Amino acid sequence: MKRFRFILIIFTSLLAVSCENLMVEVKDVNLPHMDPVLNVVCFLSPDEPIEVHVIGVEPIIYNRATKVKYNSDYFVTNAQVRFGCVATGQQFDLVYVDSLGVYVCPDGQPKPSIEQGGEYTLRVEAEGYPTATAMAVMPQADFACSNIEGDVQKIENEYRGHFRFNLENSSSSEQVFRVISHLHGLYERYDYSGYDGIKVDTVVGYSLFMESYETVQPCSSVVVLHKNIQHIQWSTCQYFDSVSFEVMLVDPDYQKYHESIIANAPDLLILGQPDGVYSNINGGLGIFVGYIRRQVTSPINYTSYDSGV
Amino acid sequence: MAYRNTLLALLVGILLAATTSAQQRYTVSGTVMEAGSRETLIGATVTVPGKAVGVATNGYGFYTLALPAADSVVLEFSYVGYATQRHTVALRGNVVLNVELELDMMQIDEIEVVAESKTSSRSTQTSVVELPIKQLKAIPMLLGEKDLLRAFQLMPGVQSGGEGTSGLYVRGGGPDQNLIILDDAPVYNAFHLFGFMSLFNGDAIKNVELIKGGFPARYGGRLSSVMDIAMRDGRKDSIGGEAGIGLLSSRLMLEGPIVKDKVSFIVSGRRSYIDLLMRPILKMMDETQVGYYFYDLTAKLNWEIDKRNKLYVSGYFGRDKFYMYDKYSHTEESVGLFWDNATATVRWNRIMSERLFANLSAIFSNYRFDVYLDETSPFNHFRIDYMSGIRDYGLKYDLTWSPLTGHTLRMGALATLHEFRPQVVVGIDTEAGLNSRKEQIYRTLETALYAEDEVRLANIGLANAGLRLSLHSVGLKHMQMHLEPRASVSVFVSDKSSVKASFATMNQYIHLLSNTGVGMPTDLWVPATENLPAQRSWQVAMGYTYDLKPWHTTLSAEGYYKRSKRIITYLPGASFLDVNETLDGNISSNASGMDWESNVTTGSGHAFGVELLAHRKSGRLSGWVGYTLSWNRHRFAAINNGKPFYPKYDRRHDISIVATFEATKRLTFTATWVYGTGNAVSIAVAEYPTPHHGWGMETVYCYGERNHYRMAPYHRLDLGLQRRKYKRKTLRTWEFGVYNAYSRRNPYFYTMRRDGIGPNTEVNKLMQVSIFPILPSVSWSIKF
Repeated sequence: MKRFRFILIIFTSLLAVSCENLMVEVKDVNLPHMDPVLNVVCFLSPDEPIEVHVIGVEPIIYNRATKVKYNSDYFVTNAQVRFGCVATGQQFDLVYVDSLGVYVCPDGQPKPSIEQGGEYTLRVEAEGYPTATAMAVMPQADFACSNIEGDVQKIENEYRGHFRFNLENSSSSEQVFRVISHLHGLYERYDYSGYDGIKVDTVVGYSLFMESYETVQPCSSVVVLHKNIQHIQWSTCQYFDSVSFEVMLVDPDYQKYHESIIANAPDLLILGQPDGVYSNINGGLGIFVGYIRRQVTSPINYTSYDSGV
Repeated sequence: MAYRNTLLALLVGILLAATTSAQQRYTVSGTVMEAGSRETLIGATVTVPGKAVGVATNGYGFYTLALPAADSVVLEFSYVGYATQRHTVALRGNVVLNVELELDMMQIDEIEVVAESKTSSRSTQTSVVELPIKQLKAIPMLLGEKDLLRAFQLMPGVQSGGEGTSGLYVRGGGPDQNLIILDDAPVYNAFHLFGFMSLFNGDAIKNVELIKGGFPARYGGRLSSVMDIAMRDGRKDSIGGEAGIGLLSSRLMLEGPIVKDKVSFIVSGRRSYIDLLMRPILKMMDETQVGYYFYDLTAKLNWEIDKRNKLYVSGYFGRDKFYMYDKYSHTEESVGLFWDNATATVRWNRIMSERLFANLSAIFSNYRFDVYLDETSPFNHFRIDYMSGIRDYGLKYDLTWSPLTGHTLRMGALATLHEFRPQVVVGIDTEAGLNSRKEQIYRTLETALYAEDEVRLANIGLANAGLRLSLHSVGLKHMQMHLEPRASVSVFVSDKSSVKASFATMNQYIHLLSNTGVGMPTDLWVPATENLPAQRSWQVAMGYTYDLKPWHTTLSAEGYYKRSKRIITYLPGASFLDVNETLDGNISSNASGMDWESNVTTGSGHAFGVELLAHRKSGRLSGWVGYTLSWNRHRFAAINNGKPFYPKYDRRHDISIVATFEATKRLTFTATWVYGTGNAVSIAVAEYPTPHHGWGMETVYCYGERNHYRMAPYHRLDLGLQRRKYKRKTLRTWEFGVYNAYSRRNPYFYTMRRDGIGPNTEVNKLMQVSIFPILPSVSWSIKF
């Protein structure tokens, strides 16, 4: 019996020792050398000026103090960026604008015309980096939006909105759309530093509501539905009076790039295989794709629901 | 020159066998059982001492041995852990001899271990691992929960997925490439507790065999291994049982006769109770209700209809559930995940003649998981379920025929209808007037015919040659057919040692889509299709086995080389939740959102290595020392720029030492030490901001070559102590265990963190997270 007590005491002690949180340890690692490359990003649209981001990709140094780096510290400012139109054979040299952090077509000089279905090239050279090249084909805007409608139901502290429209693809090929919905109107800004919120001002603006990707088969349509639940403490959405849908016809590479940014997290090591951001740039990282944007707007109807509570 | 001699020896052997078969011959057949309970013993050996004649009992304890006529023949019956018996029979006609071997639990050091054992130098099969259940039960485990699969991870060539997990990685293969069968029924997710615990309850298991290579033709359908688990039949003499209480779960097993010596049953169940303990505390704290539980139930009915016919009905059902429940304002919200397994088998054994044994099995297996979100308010009910599953209906017929001395022919046919539901999305939204169900169903038929002959060539050796014809069709449209030749040979170098070699080709007609590779319930089973045909592999293995008789120990060394084709994995960024369609009335128009085939890619792999093992199965000090040196590489055109890479579980060195010491009749000490090279993982090598188009800049990471970094090596020591007490016809056991006795910080995963604020102080830190420090456990059980 004495021995048995002895064992129990040992086990109780061990149990106490083991009742700690996750054991975390900092690892000092030496990673293999990585050659620097350029991250070149350009989204082409017929309605927007050309902007090319040129960013230097630098190795991570683990467990050593480093200089704080802001996004602008990564920008490569001395690159040679050349934009080309395949159809006309014209080449355009872009210049760096410090205030924007991007390369644009210089003022006072001819600018390339971005056409639906057009093919364009991009070539970026910078000292210390391999040359990055890419090619993009603009999509054809064979789509329409119809039957836009939306309403908000109000019950006590909750607001439930759902908004929908038909997205029709008249193209003979499958199309990918990025859809972002926004709420427009007046909203009140509150100061919550006290126990109750104190209204400070009322402003005109908009709020991001929801976004999704829609893949639409050739010559068919889908119903795009965006919905959300808002609590009053999050947003005074009773002041929003219209909803708009920003519909972007995008290249499939656009979706891959966008979604891979979301999936790119070092924490994914626990659950799966982390992967780098999707790229269609030769000799570097980044994306060079086209998109065509349209926007449709509809007023919001409000209905109230009496829960009887 | 050497191969000519071997060929000559084989020819002489065949001639000798043919000559002896011309004499008047009779058959001794019967069943080998445990005395008292009359539980049949699988793999017990029946030999004629001093002669190269012997056979092992089949999966139902049946044996048959054809011998020349004689006035008296001595037969020796042996099984590890049981006292050997000798019986003398007069062979003037066919003889039926049923033998009951005495279990000698407390005198294990006095048990005579005979040379003829399936894992010793006198067995044909290469690459087979068998562990006595008693030895399995003695091994200390995480939180004291006995775990069959984790015990097998300690054998050479078998690796674990990570800290504490039960998944098996056999010779470079993934967890999807293991065929786990419980009484003939395949089990598709063999884990409780998100992979930390296997679902097999040791109380109800009679025998487990793991085949890593040199697969006999009777097995097929997976590339890397076959784990054949046989459930116990239940005592035929009297009611008995076992109950246990542990830190994580409690268990109860009952067995006994319904009609004495005719009909018996066994029922066994477990239930975890973390949720029950947490519930009142969370309620008191008014916190979100979070809970997890699992339970399982195993049952078997065994009816000995007459001397020639037996009927077995067995089944398993188990469920895991993780849930969160919250209530705010007038809205109730619950989120959860549950998964369950069910198997059922009806088997009819018939001894057609003294030399012909038949078994017919009807098999059912079902696995499904469901991730759900449910929100109920006075004006709306919103629910979304994401489900996946696989269901099998199968028929199997096996014949074992011993026409001549030294020949055991096995033939059979198998047909399985698989019903895959890779992605099912059910949406209910009363507010939006939505009630939709979208699902994909694939029905595939997998059939196989096989024949194999196990030949004993006098004193020269043993050989097993077989052929399996497998067919697979998806809805009778897309048909695939493959011939799978199998061969293994064992040449006796001396009475203590043998050289073995094997060759096997395998086809796998089902795929597992997994993001994690650790056997998570959310992994999807999908069929081989026209776009994703069957995975294929071939494997050669060669080994040397030496019986160190005075030490009751078998030494073995084995090398293998395996090539796999068309293995599959998710494309970068894809996951099981890739369902793109909106839940509206027009849902069926968007079929491409459910297209899992476009989320995966195929590639190839090769693995090779050497496995060394010294295994002592009985005696006061038993256990083993195992070492594996291995390499494993994968190549996918769409991953890592098409360059080959080490998969996560490539492990260069793997060592395990397991020792069980029976100090007294009442006291057993156990210790396990394992070491393994760290897993290959990807960690970020570079960072940079990139425009998100509409969302400003996002800092992202570049991971370089896939799995370029090795985690720290894994090692751990577990200790255990069993204290038994016999009291009032019961055996009571206290068991104490210490998992990770020296509290080694083994890596579970790595993550990056940025510490510090301000100039020159910000540091990127790579954090290694370990989950199990030293963990003591205690459990109590009673056997009656």
